[in-house]
Amino acid sequence: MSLRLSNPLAGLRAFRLSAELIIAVSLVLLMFDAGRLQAQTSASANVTASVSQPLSVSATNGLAFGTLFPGNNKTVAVTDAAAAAFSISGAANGNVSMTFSIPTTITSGGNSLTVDSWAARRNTTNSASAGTDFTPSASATQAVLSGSGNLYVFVGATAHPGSSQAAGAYTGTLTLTVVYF
Amino acid sequence: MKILAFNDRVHTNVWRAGEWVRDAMRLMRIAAGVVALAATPLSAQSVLIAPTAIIIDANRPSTAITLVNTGTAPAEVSLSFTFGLPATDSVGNMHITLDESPADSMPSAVDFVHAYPSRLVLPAGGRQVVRLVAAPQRKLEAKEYWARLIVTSRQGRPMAVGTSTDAPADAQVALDLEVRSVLAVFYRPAGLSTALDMSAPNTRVANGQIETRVRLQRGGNAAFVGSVSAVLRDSTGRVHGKKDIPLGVYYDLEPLITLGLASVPKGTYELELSARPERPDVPNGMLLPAKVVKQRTAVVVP
Repeated sequence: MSLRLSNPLAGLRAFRLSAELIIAVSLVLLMFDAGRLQAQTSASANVTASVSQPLSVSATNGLAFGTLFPGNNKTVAVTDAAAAAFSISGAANGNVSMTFSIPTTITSGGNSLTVDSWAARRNTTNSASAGTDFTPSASATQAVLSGSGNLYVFVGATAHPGSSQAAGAYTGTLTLTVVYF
Repeated sequence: MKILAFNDRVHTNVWRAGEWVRDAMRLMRIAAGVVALAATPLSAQSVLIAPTAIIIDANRPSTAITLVNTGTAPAEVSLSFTFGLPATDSVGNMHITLDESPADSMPSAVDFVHAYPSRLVLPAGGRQVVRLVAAPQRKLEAKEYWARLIVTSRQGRPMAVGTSTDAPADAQVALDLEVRSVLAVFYRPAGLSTALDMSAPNTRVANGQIETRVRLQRGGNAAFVGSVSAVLRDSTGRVHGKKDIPLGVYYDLEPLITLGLASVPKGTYELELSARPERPDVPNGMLLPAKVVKQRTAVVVP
């Protein structure tokens, strides 16, 4: 049996396609084995590929007021370590729109506690010590990712325990919605 | 918690080697991005999605997103659709208003695009393929239809509250965080094209930067998805500033484009604005072709 190619370049193309396919499958397998990939510190390889920049929205720190005492308000400033922190990454200079769903009260069973005076700061570097202040709300805040495609957001608020605030673990949810243009 | 996602068309047609390899290569590019980002340190909660635009072709009205939770806690994920068109305000800031029930006159795909499953719990290290299916129940006009995919994720348990089951003796307060990523979805019947018209730029020097407004108006019957570039050159052609802005022009926009002047000496420069159908976050093969448009204007830096 013999195999004849009607086009002499067809064999070369077929070989190239096969090679590309092997590379593609190998990379996909690597993707699903990222944990092992990270563990291999003694091996390295240079990979050249055109990578499409993904969008990533991360909640890196929950807003934690810690222990409160009845009748004593407690404020977590945007610069505090206990402030909520988000990071957004995407295409360089990409426009994003941010909205927040903020709880006005948080609960523990049948008990509630007021949280207000919400404040936020955004910065293109991962530091709350500088940046642009804004009020987190359901109204959209427009922002532009940095030249490297990053944006960091820090959120603080004030909790108001009543003078007879019941003990308990009070929880609520702060939601950040990021719309990518 | 970290969620990884990538988008790939589902193949239901006859197997075609060239097409398969092209898609495999696209998958490879996306996989490389996902691998690179998965290698970063784990954060408390993260959603990662690539590419950032989802395109469903009427010839193959199904696409898939794979969600991967590489974190150490289970992730609750839900997917839903809404509608919204980017717009610019009076000073050129971009914004979007999401509307679950758009007017009938809007080219909305919200009522015929579905995610399966739409709710799931991903264990730590788990992954799930979510299929996005377009099933229009009526004959559609020859134009592009749009929606917005909302991917909501949160940890299965609060990330900021102690895990002790003992009742606390005082009031302990913490808020959990939820993140929602909203991405563009395009449904493309056959016969679509796009184009862009760019007006003469309106430029001024203020606030230590060049501030330019330029009106972008879409042609054809589909959104222009691409980038606008601003390049500042001196009389010798040397580049003193450059910025690329990814955007989508569904009808028209008049964005504010800024270029910093921190290291630009006094003098007269040429500012070139150009728009091309390329974005760093969307594979080129997914974008509709369009002619590159340019505008130039002189800028005096005092």
